[in-house]
Amino acid sequence: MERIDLRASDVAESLDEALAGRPATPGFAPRPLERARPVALPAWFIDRCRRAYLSVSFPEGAARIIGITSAFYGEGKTSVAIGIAMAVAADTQEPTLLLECDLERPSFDRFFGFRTAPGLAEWLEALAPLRVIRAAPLENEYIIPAGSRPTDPARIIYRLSESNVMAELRPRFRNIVLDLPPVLNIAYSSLACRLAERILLVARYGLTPIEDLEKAEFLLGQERLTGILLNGYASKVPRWLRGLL
Amino acid sequence: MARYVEVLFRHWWQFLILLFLLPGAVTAASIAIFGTYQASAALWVDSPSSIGIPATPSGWNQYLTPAQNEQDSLNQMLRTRSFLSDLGDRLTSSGTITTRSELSSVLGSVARQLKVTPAGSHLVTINFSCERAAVCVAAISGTIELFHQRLAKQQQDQADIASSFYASEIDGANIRLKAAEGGVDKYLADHPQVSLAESQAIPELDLLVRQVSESRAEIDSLRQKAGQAAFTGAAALRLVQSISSVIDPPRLSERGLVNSGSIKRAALAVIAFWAAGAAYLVVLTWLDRTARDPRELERRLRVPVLVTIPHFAHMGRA
Repeated sequence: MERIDLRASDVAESLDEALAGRPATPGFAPRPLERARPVALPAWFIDRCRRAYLSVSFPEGAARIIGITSAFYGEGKTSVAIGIAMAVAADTQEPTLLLECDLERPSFDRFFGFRTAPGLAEWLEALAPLRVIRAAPLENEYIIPAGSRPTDPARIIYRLSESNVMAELRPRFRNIVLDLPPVLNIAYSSLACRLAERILLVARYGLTPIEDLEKAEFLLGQERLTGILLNGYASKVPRWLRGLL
Repeated sequence: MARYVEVLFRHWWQFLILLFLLPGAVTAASIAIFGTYQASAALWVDSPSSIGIPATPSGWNQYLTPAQNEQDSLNQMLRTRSFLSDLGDRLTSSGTITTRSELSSVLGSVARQLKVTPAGSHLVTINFSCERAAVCVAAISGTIELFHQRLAKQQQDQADIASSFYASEIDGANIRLKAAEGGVDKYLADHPQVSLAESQAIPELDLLVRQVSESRAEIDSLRQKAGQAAFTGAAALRLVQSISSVIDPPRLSERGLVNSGSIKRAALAVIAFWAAGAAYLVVLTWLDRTARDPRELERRLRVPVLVTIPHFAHMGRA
């Protein structure tokens, strides 16, 4: 397979520059790292996300790369990805990266209040330097947005998967949460899912057909699919009766 | 099972309508449109001997209580066509029933559904359900009156027969008296020296005198019995009414689901709607193939459901 010409030194340099903030131009003061607006997610939601990632086991000492995907759009995978990243960052106090890999419909800008571009797509296309944003209020949580929708998203994901970007990210970020494209909507999602070591599949209560979840499971492979998060759960059955059934 | 319960609770208002509100509405409409009424009356039945009447009504069993005897007589009478025919005439002539179809329906109901129940040793209750209040009351009133009249007629007939029998017996006794008196007169004429005062000393005369006095006593006794029979015949209706007195006149006691027809209609409506509800539940469950039950997801995908995240209104969706 052809190796993408994205040199390791370029990637490392870009990451270091991005994390250090924009260097000072002669005659100007250096600008600090761009900061995102705090996301208003309820504490109980973060707690549920915490429970989910605590259920995922990783090899001791290795970077934890969790991918969050779903069968279709509209099932809440981005909310869950943000929640998991916040929970991991808060619990571990280790550098945590939230990487938006959904190039078709980037939505971090709606949550965090920053502009979409430039982002991952522009950087991999060598159109703009890598943009890393510091999340708020946690100091150890970082975000790389997807950028504006590229003409060929599959090629961008291919570049990402075949380059050493993830390998360079691992030593810098102990925890990486990937907001992956939905499995059945996007053809290259299987490729994107290979970036993650563990994948969590988000299903929306009363919306996602079980047959489609089975298809998604087939495409992802059962060995990497660690678990399912049933989102928007609104059962009308009383808790005591659910326990009896 | 969990899916069915889930669907049931999710569409609870539809099932509430289908399983409870609609059957309730149909039952209410059934009551309103096909309203049934129940009338009741109570009779107090005494043994004839307790009011000084030596005669026992026809068909009474000495081992049963007065109330049981009354119930038995009334039930037997209700099985006869002539009784129902008389009751029909009474209801028609009083203007309570005007159509032939209603008449046949009511008479059929009387034969099947008029309930005579002993409520003790002397108390008998009569209940009847029908679709018109006036008919219910009139049917019970007519039944009681006809029953009393029939009992009185039986008493009169028995008294008439007894009177005829006693009259013929009195005639025979009179003939025997005249013969005995003739014998005494002939003996005295043949024996002018003998007076009637010496009859005890003369066996032949004594026999003749004793025959005369026995005949007179027999006539007195027969006349007394004939008088009793005549009295029984003349006062038969009053006697029957004294034995079996109406203590609670017929009146409406209930309205609504009181007869088997109404209950059957309501039960059919409930069963039909519950069957439709069950079918609707099955269809809804079959049509809903979305992820709802964590245990079902785990079973089908063989992947654990790590957590369920409750719905919240302002969740960003992507």
